[in-house]
Amino acid sequence: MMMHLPDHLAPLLVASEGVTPWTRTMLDMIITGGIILMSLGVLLCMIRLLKGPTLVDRGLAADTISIQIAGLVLLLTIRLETLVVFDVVLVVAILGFVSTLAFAQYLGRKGAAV
Amino acid sequence: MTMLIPVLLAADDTLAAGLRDVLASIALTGGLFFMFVGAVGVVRFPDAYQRIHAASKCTTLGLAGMLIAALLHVWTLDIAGKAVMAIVFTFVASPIGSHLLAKSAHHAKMEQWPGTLSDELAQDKADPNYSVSDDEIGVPEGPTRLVRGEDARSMRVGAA
Repeated sequence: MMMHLPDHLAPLLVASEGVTPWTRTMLDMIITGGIILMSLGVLLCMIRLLKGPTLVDRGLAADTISIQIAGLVLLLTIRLETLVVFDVVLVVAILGFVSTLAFAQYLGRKGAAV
Repeated sequence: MTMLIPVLLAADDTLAAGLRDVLASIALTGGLFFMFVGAVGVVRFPDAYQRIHAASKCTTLGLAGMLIAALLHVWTLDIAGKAVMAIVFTFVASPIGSHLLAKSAHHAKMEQWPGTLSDELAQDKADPNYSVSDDEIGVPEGPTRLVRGEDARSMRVGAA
């Protein structure tokens, strides 16, 4: 059902079959930029993982890398418009949390963890 | 605002998808911003505690914004349930993980940035009335003892 629209708003309804709406183009551009940005974030966390002076820094960097990878999978979900890979986000988030807990428990037991 | 009302009334599927895409773009930009800022903070901050602070921002706000963007763009019931579940889980789990990590770092007496102003956990540990000693933070050795009733109440901070 199509109601009457003022003339200056009519172009909003024009986008139809065969034409990519400009909103979709904008979202695609943001996703492309986001993939670059988050890959850069993974590299930054990798620097901290390699040079981090203590074990806490390394565990923290590994946790952040897992979150960034979950974000990359989310970007893939938006780009492909499918739910096939979305479960990976939940699994990676839960695994990151559990590994952080185990790591903190290990550090607490070890005592001098520096 | 009154300009928007006929648009919303006349919204067919294409227009609704366009509006949701605009909202998804905004949420995605915010999420990406927080993700990148968290990664930069993990590298740049001078202290393990401040790095933990930066990383927990990245987890909660960044992942939540990107999940909201995915929910708005795909817009099915499946992804709605899973996204809400993931948001609730990360909002609960991330502070717990950061807290435990910071606690074990403090337990290991990791050095702090020289400009740090206060360390209340160290003050509490130095207090003889504080109920949790250093040994109880990790896995305690020997059988654990359950404290009930009056004993537990008398162990409360400041009660002795």
